[in-house]
Amino acid sequence: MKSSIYHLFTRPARQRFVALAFTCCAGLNASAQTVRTDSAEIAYGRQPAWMVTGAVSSVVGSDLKKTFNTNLGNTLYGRLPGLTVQPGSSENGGNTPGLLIRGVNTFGGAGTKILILVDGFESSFAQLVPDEVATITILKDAAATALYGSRGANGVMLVTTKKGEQGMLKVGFGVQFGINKPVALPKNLRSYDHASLYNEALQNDGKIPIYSTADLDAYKNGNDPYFHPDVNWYDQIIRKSAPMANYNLTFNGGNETVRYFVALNALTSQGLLIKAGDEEEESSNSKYQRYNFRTNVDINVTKRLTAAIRLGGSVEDNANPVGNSTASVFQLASAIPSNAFPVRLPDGSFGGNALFANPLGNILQTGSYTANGRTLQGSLRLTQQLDFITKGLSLSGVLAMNSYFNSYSNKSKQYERFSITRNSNGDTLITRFGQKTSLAGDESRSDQWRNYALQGFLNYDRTFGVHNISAMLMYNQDSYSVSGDGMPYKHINGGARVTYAYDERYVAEVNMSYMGSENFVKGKRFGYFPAVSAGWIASNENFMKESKVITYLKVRGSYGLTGNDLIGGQRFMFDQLFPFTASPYFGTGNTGTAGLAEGTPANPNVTWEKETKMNVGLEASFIDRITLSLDVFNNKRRDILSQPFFTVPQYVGVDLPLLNVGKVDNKGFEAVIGYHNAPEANVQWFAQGSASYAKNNITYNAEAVQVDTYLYRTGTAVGQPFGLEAIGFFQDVADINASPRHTFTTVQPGDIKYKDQNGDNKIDQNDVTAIGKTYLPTLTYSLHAGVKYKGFDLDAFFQGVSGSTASLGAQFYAFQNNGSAPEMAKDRWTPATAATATYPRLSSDNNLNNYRYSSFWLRDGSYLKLRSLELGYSLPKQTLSKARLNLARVYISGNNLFSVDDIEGDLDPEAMGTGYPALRTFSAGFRVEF
Amino acid sequence: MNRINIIKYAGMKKLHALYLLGLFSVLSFSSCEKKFLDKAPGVDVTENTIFSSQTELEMYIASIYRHGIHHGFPTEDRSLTNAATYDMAAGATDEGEFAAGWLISQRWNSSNITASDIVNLEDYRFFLRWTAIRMCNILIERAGDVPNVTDAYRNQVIGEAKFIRALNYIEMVKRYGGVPIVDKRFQLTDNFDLGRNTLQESFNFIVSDATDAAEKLPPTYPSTMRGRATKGAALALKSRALLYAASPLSNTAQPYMSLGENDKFLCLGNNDKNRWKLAADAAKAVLDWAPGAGIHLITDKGTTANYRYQWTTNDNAEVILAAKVYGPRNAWEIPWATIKPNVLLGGRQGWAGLMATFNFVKKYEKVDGTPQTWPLAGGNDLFLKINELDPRFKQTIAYQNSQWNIEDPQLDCRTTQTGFWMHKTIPYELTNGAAQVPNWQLFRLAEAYLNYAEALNEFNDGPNADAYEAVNVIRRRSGMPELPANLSQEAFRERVHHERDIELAFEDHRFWDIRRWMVAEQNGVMQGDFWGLQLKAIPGSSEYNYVPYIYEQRTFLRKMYLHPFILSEVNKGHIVQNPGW
Repeated sequence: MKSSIYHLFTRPARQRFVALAFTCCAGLNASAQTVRTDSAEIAYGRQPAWMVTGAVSSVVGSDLKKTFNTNLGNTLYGRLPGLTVQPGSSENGGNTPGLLIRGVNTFGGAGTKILILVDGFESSFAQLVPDEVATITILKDAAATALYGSRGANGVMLVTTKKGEQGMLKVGFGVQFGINKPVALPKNLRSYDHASLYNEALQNDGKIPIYSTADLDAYKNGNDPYFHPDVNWYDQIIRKSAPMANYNLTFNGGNETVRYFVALNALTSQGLLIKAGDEEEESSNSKYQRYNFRTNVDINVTKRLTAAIRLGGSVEDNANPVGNSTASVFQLASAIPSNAFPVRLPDGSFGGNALFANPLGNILQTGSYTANGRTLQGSLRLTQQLDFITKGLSLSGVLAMNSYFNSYSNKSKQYERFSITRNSNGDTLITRFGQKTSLAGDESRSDQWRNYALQGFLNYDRTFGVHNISAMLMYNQDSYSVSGDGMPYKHINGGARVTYAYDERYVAEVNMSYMGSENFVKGKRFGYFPAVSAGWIASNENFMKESKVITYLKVRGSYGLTGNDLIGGQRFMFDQLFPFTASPYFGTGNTGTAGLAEGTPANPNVTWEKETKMNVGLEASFIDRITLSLDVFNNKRRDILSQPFFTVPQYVGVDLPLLNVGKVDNKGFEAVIGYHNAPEANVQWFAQGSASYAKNNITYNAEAVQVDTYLYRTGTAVGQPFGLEAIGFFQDVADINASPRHTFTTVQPGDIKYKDQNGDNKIDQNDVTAIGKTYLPTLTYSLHAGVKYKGFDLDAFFQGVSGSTASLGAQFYAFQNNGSAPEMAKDRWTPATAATATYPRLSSDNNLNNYRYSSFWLRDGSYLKLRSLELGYSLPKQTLSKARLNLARVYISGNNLFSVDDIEGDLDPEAMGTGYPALRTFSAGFRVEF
Repeated sequence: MNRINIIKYAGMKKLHALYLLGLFSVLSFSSCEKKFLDKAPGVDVTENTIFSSQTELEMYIASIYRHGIHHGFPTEDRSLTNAATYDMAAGATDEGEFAAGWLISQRWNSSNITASDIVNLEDYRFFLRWTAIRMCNILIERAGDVPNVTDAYRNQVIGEAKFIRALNYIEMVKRYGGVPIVDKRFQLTDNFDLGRNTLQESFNFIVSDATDAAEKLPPTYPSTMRGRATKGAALALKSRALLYAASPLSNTAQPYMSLGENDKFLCLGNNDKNRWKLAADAAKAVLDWAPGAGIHLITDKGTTANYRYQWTTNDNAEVILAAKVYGPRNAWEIPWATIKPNVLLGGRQGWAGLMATFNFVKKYEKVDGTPQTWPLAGGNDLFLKINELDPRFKQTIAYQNSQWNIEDPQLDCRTTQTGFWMHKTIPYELTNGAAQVPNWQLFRLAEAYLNYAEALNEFNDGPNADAYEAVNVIRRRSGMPELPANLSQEAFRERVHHERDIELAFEDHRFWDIRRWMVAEQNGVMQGDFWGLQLKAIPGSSEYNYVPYIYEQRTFLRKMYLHPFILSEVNKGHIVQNPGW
């Protein structure tokens, strides 16, 4: 009898391929450690890799370790083909980056969130550490996601934690120290430049310059720090570098009856801000600490009954001055002109003025903000073999509870700051701003979510000769509560999967689910989501079996229906409500009242978004060295909630409810190609490149009728920016007179000139057109390479994107709201520099013509970054065995070391804002296992 | 494997039976689906809840007021509409000039108006108004269903709905001409193709609603219900509507610009003097009603203080209806922030401020009733000139060294483009930390007097004694002499228009008056030179030197007599756009 297990053992080359294809980016270290070569994570189960007919990608936890970060989400850049990572805040405890699988397929208020399951259940994953993660797998096509029914269309990410392996106790201990530095900080004009350019701006506006020659000299000489200061606020508020450390201890082992994996992890990371708590008792250092624990135990209770217990948790403490997030103080630091006021007055009090508070004062004198968060993930799975009924039959039941709670304990206060000026008589005038208050406590805020889920499975897996049949019947119900959202989100899901494989050459599979969400009206709640898929392992055909060139070749395809119940709009749209609204004041003295107004009319037919997904894939390995994997997909999303504006006149007095009418198409591919040399070579090396591309197109969105067709969003990508098209600067008055009238404000030479799209000889909001590309890149690619020689290993990981547009925001608008001006303003238009200018003529007020969204402020958002570089040294085996060690390795590593891009200065195309800067990390560490 | 076998196996191994039981219990959750996925009872309010009790209905009515009552202050009401206005209409008239380039009145002053963004330029309530009208229609439809209320109350709420519906219609008619009349709630399956009604039909609808409301509404309310529409408010609304209908823009066979067969959307189709009679009667009805409701002109604070008392004191005896959309607002908040001068002392500046133009200041007569003379070359006697003016000047305008409030006892206007600021509408008590309650006076008794005088003069081809008295009662209480006897119709018209300019300054009248009188395009009104004063201290003297100068050229296009409908609506194909847009 030819069993599948037999096949796997006799085909080492193919196994190796599988390892690379499914843990696509696994480096050498990884493949040496934990890669399971035999199977892959799929929806509610595992499958032998050759049998998988859906589109899945995965990465092993050890690869994620190469990025030293407090948030697991930030380790995923480029690691999984098809997954686009959009930067969140880099701040400790900050937001998890946005994750998208194969781009976006929907618009409007609909959710693009992927379904993230940790060990099978909805939970946060950002708090996990790489050392407790076995694999992260993304499910991309209909075959892979159909079992998630109306939650699968955006794609699914399965995070699987490590489990114990039978054998002697293995203890691992690792320590990593690192420092974080900002990748880039906004650069503003220094005082002398600021003052002279501001004078020029005033003159341009027909106003009198306010800085005299004496003022300018004083700024230049810098010898009058109180009345002519030149402050770089970043120097005042941030440290050169902020330390970070991680300590990890794992235990892994067990016997036939009990196997365990236990991990303890402590992580500390300090923020970029100066140590405010050391200077001021009532402030706080910016610090973040998290303790993770995990106990995963598998028990064979009886010969046929097994229990799997997954228990993980984390406790995090976050403390900051300024606020729960410190982004505001970074924004303030970028907004203040360098010459606005000194850091401190001669008497030590804080400088400030009517417009701006003092960033240093905000850090030291506004109290302390602390947050304490707790995550708990737990599940119990019991599996009973039912081979007494029939061979290959088993029954499982799972109960899972996950929760998160975060409480805040904030103490805030206000402080005084002073402006210092000289009047015309030379007297010093000091004006106070702000009031001093004592600390006020606030513990009223908290966040939480919790969910529970109940699942049951009936599994059947049996091989008859060359026939292999596996089948699964499943039931799931879950309930997810989030503080502030009132009622829990609930789902009920019944599903089935049947896989038939013939002779390891042909595979056919059906996945289907029948799923309902609480958000839809009774009777129209459940949807049916089927998918069919098939695979052909050509290399197992007789005519190819002996080929030395093509050592593995598999072709697969899938087609099916998935859904997205994150439809946007208000919940329970089938109900017409009269919500509370803003209300007037009645009575002498104007007393507030309560008001009830008609809400949006009900949509009794509201339903989930539906998406048909088609996927064709190819996996191959050549001469046992080169691996190739290719997937092409075509997704068609329908029933996207849209506002049917197009015919309903406003005099109806109420908007039509959102209707399920929108449509988006999305096409693309993923390709991975890798090479590794012979495992027995002295110098081992590998290189692997991947590219994923997704381009969407709104095919229908019920938009308003437009006279000018270029105003239609239909036909463009979701999130396509629309703005004016800049075509240079006005050269002179004649140029202005000969050009269409720019209606935003009176223009003068040096102002931005826009293209008159509709030829009505005036420039206004009707001249906006599609400019640039979306913020979301269409192409993400990566290059991963490593080399190992003797005990040394080197691993480099590059990631890049293309097909995106970055926008220079309001912080690049010089002198806006009496604020700072960017360095690039030095290249402004003047009559003398008209030919070379790259920045419009300066204006002292908020110039409505120049400082508006237009192609002038857009830049190509493409970049290539060195996401991680690691150099390690492992002690040789002989030395290790003497010390009874399995492994001892020291390493140094760096993250975000450089970026190649098209943005001026050293700005980071992913972090163009003025909030907490993106981080560059340098670290060193060691790990021992015994 | 058949069923009998299962049972046999299960019987053999009790443990396994338990698992099978477990399986069935898991699967049986499906049958609980009904409960599991059903929406739990919530606190949601439905339409039937609202019309089930007076308490709920009162909350619905409160919301109708919020949606349906406009005011002339800057607004930033993001909870209701995305559009906002930081302006007052006065900045787009010869009364004022905003001291910041980004305010939208600048676009009116340069005729830079487009159909695509009219809702951001002036008519930010365009969408809100239709919502308010729908809410009124629902109330009128359902008021009969509310149990356990008196007929008087039922009448009152229907009257309020009709008043608010009429108010929203006159606000539209003065902007757009004839508009679609929506007098019932649309069901979502109805045919929406309504199109515009004629101007005549639109006015008729307003008058009919106002008349009906006046019959149903009470003359007064308890003090806790100030701000609710009274009988007088409905009468005042009717008076204003009929005055607009009788005015040259509407009361004509030839509209300001032709729309061919659709001229009836723009004008009433003929010039009928009897419309002035209707207007006069409607104004008289307000004057007749007022004493019984305790409404009268403020005359007991002294001739140099009556006027100021009237606009600074909320809910005084002259106010017929005020919009109460705000609670107390701080000096740095909307509406004050954008209209108070940006020259106030450190840290308390506004964002912009509304300056008074010299064109407007020149209109103030001397206290003896003759025009003030301001030499074009300027002079060294600013305060002398100012002290000679109509007492209402100092109660309306902030000028050099005038007291703004206790924080700014001496306002310095030397850096002010026009040399003057609007003070009226901004309370003297408004200081940092002392929030004030904005009330926008939608209808006050003085307007009815001026409506009456204007209409009588037009209907009778000259002023009669009632017309004279109606103007003089306004002048008298502010210490101004009576108008000279035996004025011609034209001369009296000029005087009554002038009186309206001065008395109702900055009260959201001028923007509409210059349209209905069709004078906006005249030089000095919204066309041509705009003047300010350059001020200089005179060393050794308390006097100031002033030199008039032209600070701006304005243009007014004839098409601006009516607003353009927002382009997105026109594009839907139900509404005929006004001419020229």
